[in-house]
Amino acid sequence: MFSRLIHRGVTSLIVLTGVLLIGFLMLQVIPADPAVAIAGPQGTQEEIDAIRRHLGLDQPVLLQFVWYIERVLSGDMGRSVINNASVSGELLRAAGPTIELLAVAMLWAVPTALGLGILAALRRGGIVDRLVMAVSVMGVSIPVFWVGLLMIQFAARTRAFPVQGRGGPLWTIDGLSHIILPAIALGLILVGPIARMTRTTLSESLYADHVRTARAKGASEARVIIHHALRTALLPIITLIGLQIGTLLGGAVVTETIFSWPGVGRLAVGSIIAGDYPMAQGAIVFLASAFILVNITVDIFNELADPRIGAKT
Amino acid sequence: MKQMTISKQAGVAAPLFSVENLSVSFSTDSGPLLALDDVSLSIHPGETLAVVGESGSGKSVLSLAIMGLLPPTAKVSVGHMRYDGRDLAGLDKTARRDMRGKEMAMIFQEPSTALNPVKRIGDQLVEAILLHEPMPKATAKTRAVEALAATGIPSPEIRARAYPHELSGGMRQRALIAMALIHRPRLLIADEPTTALDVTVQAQILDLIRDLGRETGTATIFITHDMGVVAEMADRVAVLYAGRMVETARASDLFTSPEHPYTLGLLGSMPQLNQRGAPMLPISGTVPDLRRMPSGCHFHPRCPFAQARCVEERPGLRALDRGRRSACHFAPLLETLGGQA
Repeated sequence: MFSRLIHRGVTSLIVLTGVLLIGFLMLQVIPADPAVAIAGPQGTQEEIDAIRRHLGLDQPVLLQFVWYIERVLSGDMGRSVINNASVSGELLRAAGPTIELLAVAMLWAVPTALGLGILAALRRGGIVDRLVMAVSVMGVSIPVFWVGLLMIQFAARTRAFPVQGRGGPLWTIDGLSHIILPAIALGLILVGPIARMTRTTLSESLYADHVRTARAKGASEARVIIHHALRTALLPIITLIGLQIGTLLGGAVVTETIFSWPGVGRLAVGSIIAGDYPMAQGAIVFLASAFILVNITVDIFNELADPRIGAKT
Repeated sequence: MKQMTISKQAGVAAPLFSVENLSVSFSTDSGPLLALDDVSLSIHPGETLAVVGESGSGKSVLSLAIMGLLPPTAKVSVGHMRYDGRDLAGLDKTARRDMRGKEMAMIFQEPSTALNPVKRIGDQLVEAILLHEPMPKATAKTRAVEALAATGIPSPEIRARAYPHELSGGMRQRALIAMALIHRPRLLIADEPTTALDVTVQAQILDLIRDLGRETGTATIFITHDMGVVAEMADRVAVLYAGRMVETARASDLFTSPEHPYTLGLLGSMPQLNQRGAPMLPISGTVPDLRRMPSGCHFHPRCPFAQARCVEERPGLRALDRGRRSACHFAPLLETLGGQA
């Protein structure tokens, strides 16, 4: 198991280097020259050259990349072109709200999806099953921004919930009422795929050989479903949830923008629109690293849930 | 079609389990599929009854029907099903479930898939114990290890902590046998328990089932398509063909003078070690599609003795001498077809 983890870690490191490279190259190919930007409209050619030398922009690209990695590793991701704020500082400030939003979205969406999927699998072909599948297809097909806009419409008319920004801490009423709408909008992305996966894997495993053995032992139907059928059906579901977190990160970008949620997604979109490339670069690298980290975590969870995975290598 | 009730073997007490006129059908897209057609059988304490037939003959459906494990899509009609004087057909689900694993247990065909892949062997045994006998978990664990040891698994304490994929096929089957016999059931159904195993392991597993069965006085219904296994294990044999019982007899009688052409074919397709050079005679053709049964006797398209009568008239199961019964118009075969056979 440990050798597998190390292997997984090494490959992730390679992927991460790729992400950094893309982020780095992004700044290389954009038309704006940071030296020109810093020198300002009155800057002379000499001043610009001095700034270039100072920033190391006259050095070979590969060397610049190595410096860039060094800086990122030491937590320095540059400064915003707009307000000179530290990129890593802004990212850290924005990470909290994003994690909060993702967590609340998953907290309601995953149990709901599992419940719907189990219900559909147990009553396969029945009315409940068809209803659940219809709802889940709807959830997959309706884009987040549309749901978000509908919610804002609804909330603006009824004044039931605030539609902009983040309230106080999550455990206060103010914090809760602010997070409800974006969390529902974001969580809806998850419900469809997870419910469908649960239905499929569970309705297969309900008739698996080892589940029949459990019935032959005299286990009650509830015990058979929970301890045997669901236990083995859970493995692909965990993998899917992990993959969906990636989609969720993407959805967070949209949701945060619509609901003005002060997270990494809105930071990324805002800085791209404003032409704040160091900030955009930082946000993208941050989101990509988060995705890689999630994948490793899912792998570990899967390994813990299925003893067979570790044995294969 | 009405059948005579099975006559009790002379001088033997009431059967432990009996079922009469059992039919099981499934509805499929291309019409109803009659998997079992009017099957009756009984088994006495300590007896081993082999149920023989090709794949598709309804053997596995029969075992699941006895255990009450048929999927909800199955339509079951049964004259009566009795276990130790109790009427099983009338029992509610909970009472039936309480019997499973305690009174009647089952060993399955594929040891590689019949165990839960993500639970340790010991935990699966502990679950089986605790389902019917509440006790401290530590005691149950000791019991589980003892049960594994009784099946001849080497270093049972270590195996109890292993996952199924870490054991060999033979060891998995031993673990399943340990699990099935843990409450000393009075009725054991073994559904082709050795089919998926190596030949050398097969013999060990057969010995194990026989020895443990004898020790606990268990009545065993042994489902197989292997006549060699039948010869090894069975006191009595029931032959199934396309969902119907075509012959039943004591094992010794069945091997010396089979009374149905299909049984004759099964025996002919068994390799003979003692008759050097004797040719193997496979049964020609395949089991008919259960949705498109041939008219008359279901076996007539493959039967070497088939005559016009067999195409038109379906033979019922008739009693012959010595408790034998055959569903062939021409039974006893030697008298009727002596010249040909």
